[in-house]
Amino acid sequence: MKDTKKILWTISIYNPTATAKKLEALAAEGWMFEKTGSLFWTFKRAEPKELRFAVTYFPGASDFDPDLTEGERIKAEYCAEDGWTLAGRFDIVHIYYSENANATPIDTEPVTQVNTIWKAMKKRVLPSQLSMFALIIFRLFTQFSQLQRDPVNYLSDPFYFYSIPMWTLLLFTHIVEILSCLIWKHRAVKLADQGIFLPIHTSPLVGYSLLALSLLCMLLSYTGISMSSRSVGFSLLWISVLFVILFSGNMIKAKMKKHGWPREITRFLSVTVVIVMTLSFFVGLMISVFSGNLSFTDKKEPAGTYELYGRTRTFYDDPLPLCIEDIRETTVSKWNKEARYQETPLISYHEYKQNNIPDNTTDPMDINKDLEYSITKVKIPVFFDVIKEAVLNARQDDKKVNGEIVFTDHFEPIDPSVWNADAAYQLHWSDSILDSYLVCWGNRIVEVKFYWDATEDEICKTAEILKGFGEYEEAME
Amino acid sequence: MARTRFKTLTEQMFYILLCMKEECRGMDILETVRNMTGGRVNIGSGTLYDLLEQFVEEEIIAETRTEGRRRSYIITEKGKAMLAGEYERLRRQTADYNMIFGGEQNK
Repeated sequence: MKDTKKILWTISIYNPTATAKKLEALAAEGWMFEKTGSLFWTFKRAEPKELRFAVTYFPGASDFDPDLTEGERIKAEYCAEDGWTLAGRFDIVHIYYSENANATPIDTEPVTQVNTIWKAMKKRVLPSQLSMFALIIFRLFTQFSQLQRDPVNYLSDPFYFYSIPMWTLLLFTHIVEILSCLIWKHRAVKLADQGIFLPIHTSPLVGYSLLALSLLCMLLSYTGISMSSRSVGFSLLWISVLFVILFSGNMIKAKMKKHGWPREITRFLSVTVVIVMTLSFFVGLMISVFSGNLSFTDKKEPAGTYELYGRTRTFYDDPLPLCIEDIRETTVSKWNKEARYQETPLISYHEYKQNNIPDNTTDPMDINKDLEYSITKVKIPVFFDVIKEAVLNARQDDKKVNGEIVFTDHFEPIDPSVWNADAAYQLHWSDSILDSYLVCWGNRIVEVKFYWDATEDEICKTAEILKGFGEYEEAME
Repeated sequence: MARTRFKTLTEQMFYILLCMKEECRGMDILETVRNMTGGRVNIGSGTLYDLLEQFVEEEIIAETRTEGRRRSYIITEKGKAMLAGEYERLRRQTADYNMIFGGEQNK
């Protein structure tokens, strides 16, 4: 039979009444409070007893204190005088118990009690909540800016797609915490004047749930890049590193407290270790990614190498739904064919390119006649128009001329019948018309860029193959 | 806070200050108030500590002696003025009560 047990603590530490009641119930069942924790509180087996518990606050205390401060000792002595024994402390929270059922409560004056709790909140809760709130707002602003700049890439990339819900949920977590503190203070002050103490009734469960959901979004954003062993492994590594960093900070704090280091030095060193470890991890990660030693996705093996201007280059031979050879005669025999794919519950995005690798047999007229195209599939029809508009607008590079916005690069509608499409657009740049098209077939938006003057016949063949590929994919699903 | 800090005194604040006419140890206040009020007013030990801290901070009382963790306090002139103000408020309240119900009670 286990002599200790840990219980997930779901009562706000600012609700002294509910906390005390729960501790009393556990003591009556034979589980005596031993110590608090961030998530789990520890209880040890004891003889079942009818004890009274009281939770009180000491705003001047710190979790970095090696032992009780002078003020805390004086308060503990006053409490002992009235039959209360200090059972444990956590940061600014003190937990007392008494065997005397008629002991005078520790806090008897609601005005003072509310004032003390509010002081504790102002010192402990609000500064951290408000700084996190500001950080999250900044992150959301940068995410929305990126979404506005490149909507398709953003919404089809799981790494970005899950970022907004993740940060929004975190924002709600902090809003809930901050609002509950402010609302409680407003109501508690009024009631305290009438001699009534109002405990905080919010449950940390709301915060834990929102936090768990945002963590889920974070996991999805990493694993969703591709469900490859590499990205899942990276997610696990990232979570492990987070735990190691937090564990190291806590361990250093605990060791320094045990050896009686002053509060300021313990705080400085513990925080410094967490910051240095976090920065080191990120710097190491960035160096590994940029040097090519680490990739979030499974590394694609090149099909071979070739020499160009004295440098060795790699080429790929990915399967493409449409190749240049399918629509025109060419003397090129060697190609670099690359396909990229990313998907979220909202959008799937395929990007293809085919570049020629010239050799002695290539007709000079065929050099640089490349092809690039992308297929964006909007999975939820209600978003189709919004995304199509965003894709069209993304091409509209603008500049200000005499205070007027002039589009230098934009799509203009063309007759869709050549493409056998619902809608078709051609890219214009300044006074020129380019060989880049945007075509809509059902829920798919396809962008095609020919690196030559495509003929109507070539366009018809392109349309036939790409439309057919889309229909084939739909049928396969 | 809605109640301007210490503008009006609660019953517990009133009795703590009352104990400090002469130099008094913080620890003794709990018992003194109980005896003074015949057990009607019970001050919690946490409340006492918090109030003593706040009173010192606001210079309503002054610390006179420290022996280990045992501290003694005495009321300041500011504290006396607050106590007198509270007494005056309570006296008027009593007078108003007597004005309305005093005659009936005498019958």
